[in-house]
Amino acid sequence: MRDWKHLVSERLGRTKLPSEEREEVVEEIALHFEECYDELCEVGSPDPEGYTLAQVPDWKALGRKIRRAKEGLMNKSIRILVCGMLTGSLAAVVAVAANFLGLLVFSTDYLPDIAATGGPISPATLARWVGPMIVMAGGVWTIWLYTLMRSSHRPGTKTSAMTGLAAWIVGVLGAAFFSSLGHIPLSVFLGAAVLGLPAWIAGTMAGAWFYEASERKPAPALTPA
Amino acid sequence: MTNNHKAPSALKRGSAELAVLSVLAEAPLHGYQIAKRIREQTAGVVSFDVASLYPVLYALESRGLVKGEWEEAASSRSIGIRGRRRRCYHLTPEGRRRLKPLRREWREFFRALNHLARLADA
Repeated sequence: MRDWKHLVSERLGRTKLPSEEREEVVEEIALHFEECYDELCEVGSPDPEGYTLAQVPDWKALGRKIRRAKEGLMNKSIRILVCGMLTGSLAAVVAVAANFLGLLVFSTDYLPDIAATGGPISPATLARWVGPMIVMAGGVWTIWLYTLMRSSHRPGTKTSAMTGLAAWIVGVLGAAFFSSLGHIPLSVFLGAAVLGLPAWIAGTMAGAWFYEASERKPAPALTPA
Repeated sequence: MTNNHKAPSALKRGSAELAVLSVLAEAPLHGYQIAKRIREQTAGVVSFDVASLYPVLYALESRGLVKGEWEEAASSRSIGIRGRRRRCYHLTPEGRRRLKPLRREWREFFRALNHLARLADA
């Protein structure tokens, strides 16, 4: 009987996969061949080996496809993290740009306003660390939410816009709570809320687009018999 | 035509995904069984060979939609395997969630195609 494992290992060549993973692929495909060969023998095929091997017309291409499928660009957690940070960054850029263009003036002296509320965090610390961290964490959370929503809705622009809207609502509710306690001046809260809507929707749409683009796509594989 | 009625881009690459997820929704299977089940259930119209099946399976696994686990194969004369391990795939909860919208997308696609080409009358 043919040594299918040896044959597959030889023909698959040196795929750029960790050796253990490569061994598993070889074993799995060899087993597939073995089962196919045995079944063809049972039904009295004139050339069971030929028919079995005809399943892979191009071994190099198969090796490339398998490597792409297994390696991909990033795993899911990293993709959520990276695309989430992108979402937060873009949302911040859109908000700042909108403010700069005067679509709505988010008073540039808001930090003294916050300082005046007597909060425990200094305005400088807030501006340099806490603000960007909240925005980034919000972006990551938003993309995570998108991955949940795309399971029940279709992945795409509409779902990402809905996710951005949902993230904005959650953010506004949180900010409203702190504003009601007097930690955030009302003018700052209102400005951030209005600027935040287009900013989060645009940021989420961009982040979700990159999330989809970084996903590994299976190749079209159905062939008419 | 509105966005709602457009065939999503996933449709173009989703036929293999739909086929594999659908058979795995019925029962956990190993690679050869997946190909065989698809061939049998479509009366041979749709078939997967080694070159088309495994890249799809590995991609689905990387995306967390299916999970493959090695298990010891029981002795079986019909497939000529004795005491060897094989990789059995089952649908993950995320795979199950993904299958529902995927089925809907394909139903809408075929409905639209049927409307266009009068497939039912052919």
